[in-house]
Amino acid sequence: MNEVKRTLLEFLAVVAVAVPLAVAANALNPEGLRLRHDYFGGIDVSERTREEARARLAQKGIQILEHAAILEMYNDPIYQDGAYAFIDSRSEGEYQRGHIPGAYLCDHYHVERYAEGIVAVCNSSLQVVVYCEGGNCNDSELTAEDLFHFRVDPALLFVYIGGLEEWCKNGMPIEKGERGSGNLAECEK
Amino acid sequence: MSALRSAARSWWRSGGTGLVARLIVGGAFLALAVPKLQDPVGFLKILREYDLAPASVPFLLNFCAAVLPWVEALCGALLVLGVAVRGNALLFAALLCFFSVALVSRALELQQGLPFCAIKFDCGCGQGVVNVCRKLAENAVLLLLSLFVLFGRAPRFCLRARLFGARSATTGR
Repeated sequence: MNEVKRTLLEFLAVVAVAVPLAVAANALNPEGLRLRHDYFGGIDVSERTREEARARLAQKGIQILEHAAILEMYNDPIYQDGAYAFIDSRSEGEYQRGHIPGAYLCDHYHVERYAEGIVAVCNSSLQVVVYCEGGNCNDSELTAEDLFHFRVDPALLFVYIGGLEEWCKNGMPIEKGERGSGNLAECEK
Repeated sequence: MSALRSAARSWWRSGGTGLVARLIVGGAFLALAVPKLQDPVGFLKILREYDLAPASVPFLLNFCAAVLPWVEALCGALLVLGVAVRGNALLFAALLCFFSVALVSRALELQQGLPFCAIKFDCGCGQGVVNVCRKLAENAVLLLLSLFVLFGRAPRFCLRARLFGARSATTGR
């Protein structure tokens, strides 16, 4: 067998062994991806503008809130009593590094871990505000859709589309660590 | 001077250069796979930005994001250990070519009037936000080393350099 043939055969053998092993390793990894799951709700990368998100959410009866309205809710004394639920749709690591004080974690990509608790919180709140990083992030939209599918009343559901980016830009504090840790800090520049 | 030249010649003959090239390429892929394995969702989100697969077929994107880091880690380890050396070197050379084309195409999308070498973004390479020119230079070095392993002298210091046909030397003697 000549060297070229042998190398090509070896390449194919490596791929043929590595790919099934990789699929198996992913399946065994608790953080692994579900291969058939549609994580992005069929939304194309180019369809993530605010206007398109607004139109998609409006179709489901979910509204978008701007910073002024969020601030009003946050400063309302009944926020501390749990009347409004802020839902952080980013990953646990990002949440731990800083979230809107009092917000609950509900990572869209691992929604099954949080669904039960979050749905109970949503159903006992007057309004539910979902946010993510801001900018091009559409995790808040996807989490709002998750909650919609978990039968949270869409009339209660709002998306803070400016997200944490806008929150920080307006000089608002973040809470580090767990919800209610009281570890308030300024956003990192 | 002649002693130095003779030491270099004997190092070259012993297959030492191929070993170093193998360790660098295999080690780099192994190390860069680790952050992706720790955060598969993060890698999936970055991969989505490249817009390589249609949103209507999520399986394609999920499959790439789930499988690629494991393949990199596994084949990186095989290259370091010296198993199927040329097959793995060919795989890494092909991956590096593909990654570099994807990197340039994504950088051009993000350019927005900036000089090309001023563009920085998280390319999903396992290093966080990187400068595109620096990353391309790294890829070029790794590609050259992969090609060196692929076309260079018969690999030495290997557990099983070739899977098929005659077995290569397994020690450095």
